[in-house]
Amino acid sequence: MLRYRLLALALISSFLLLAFAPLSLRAGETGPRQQLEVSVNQLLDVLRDKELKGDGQQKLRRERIAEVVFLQFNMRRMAKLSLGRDWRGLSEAERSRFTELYQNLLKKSYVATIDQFADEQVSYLKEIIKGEKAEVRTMIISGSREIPLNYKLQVKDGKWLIYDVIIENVSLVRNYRSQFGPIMKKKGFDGLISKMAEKITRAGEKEDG
Amino acid sequence: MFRKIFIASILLFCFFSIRVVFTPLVCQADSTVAEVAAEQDEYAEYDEEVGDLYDPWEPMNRSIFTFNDRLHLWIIEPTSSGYQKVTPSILRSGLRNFFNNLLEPTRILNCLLQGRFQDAEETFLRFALNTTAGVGGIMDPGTYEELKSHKGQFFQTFAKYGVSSGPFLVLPFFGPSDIRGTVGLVGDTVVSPTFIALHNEPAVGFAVQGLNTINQTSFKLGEYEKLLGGALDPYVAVRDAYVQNQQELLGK
Repeated sequence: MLRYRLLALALISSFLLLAFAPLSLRAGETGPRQQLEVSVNQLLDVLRDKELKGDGQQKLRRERIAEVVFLQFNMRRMAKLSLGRDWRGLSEAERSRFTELYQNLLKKSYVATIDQFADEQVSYLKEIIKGEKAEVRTMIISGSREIPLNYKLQVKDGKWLIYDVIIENVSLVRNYRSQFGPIMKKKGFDGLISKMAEKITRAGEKEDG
Repeated sequence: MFRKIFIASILLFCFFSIRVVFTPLVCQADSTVAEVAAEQDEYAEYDEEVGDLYDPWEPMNRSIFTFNDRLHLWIIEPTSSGYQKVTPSILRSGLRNFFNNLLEPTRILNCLLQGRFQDAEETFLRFALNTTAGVGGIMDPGTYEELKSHKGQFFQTFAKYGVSSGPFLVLPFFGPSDIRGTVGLVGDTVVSPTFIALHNEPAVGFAVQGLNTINQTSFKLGEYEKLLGGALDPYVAVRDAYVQNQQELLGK
């Protein structure tokens, strides 16, 4: 009798162990919002760094912002989605070249936009997780202005990475896709690449001068 | 008795170990299927392209866009920047609140027309409070009372009754719009107090409208340039931003 009781106990406990093991594993992972919060806090640290304040430090400051922010970006995926189906026809070298230019373009626009949020507060409104994809909605509160800033994330190698940013209802990826499409159609990939390079140089000159 | 528990637990054990062992496999199978599907339509997430937007007047729109762009960068932005330097921020916020308050009746009217009675009521309470306790709308006690101002413009009302947007249209001074938006803008303007001032005393009306624009811009100096700083085709970028905003405002 005792033997049965012990066996039953052992079986039940091992069953419990098995049943709850996946749960505890899941709890160990970081959610999209948590992960985003860490990176946003790093960004705010850069923006509030006294040594990096002022116009004279702009270049260095934006470099630092880009470092912190782009770490959370799945840049290749963003570039791919921004280009759309034309991506399929590109060689690996072309894809890397395009992704690199895309990242530099974001430096001139997205990073510059983020750069003005120095004394702002960020409030986290909502986190929607659907399988491997998630959306985190935040609000930047700047004085009496509220700027909705949403992020779309997807799991890559166990980490949530951003693949789109929606600033004031405007999706970055969609906005770029609307621009890239017609240029690809008219001037082809080489035309697009040279246009991107030209834009980056011009924006760089503006920043310096 | 214990034997029964024993057998039951064995059964339970077998059932759950099978489940636990096979779940990852099943999940994996699911995710590969999902991945393939995702690979197939991963671009579809962004398929509502602006190419679908009807823009038959693109050449004209582009030139008006260029006009607005220069107007903004050469006149409005520098004026606003100078204005910001000499005007205390309390005064600027007061003015902004004042002009914003003047638009509340339009919002209330449109909320009513769209059958959004709760929104209309809240906006009305806010308007009443800000106009009285807020000294004609210069102060904003409504926000402290957590009374929200709900968006309500004629283009939304038209959309609600099934009017479609029509071709894209860039208006001089007012910026990106479409046919429905333009007609809506006329409606919004006609019922706004600034228009009544404009109608009775055009010079005063234009001056007031100019001040409003300069004042509003003083809160977002440099933003316009930064937003378009990475745009390969600023016209298309603005047109797409307009469409995305409309979709959001109209609840898609």
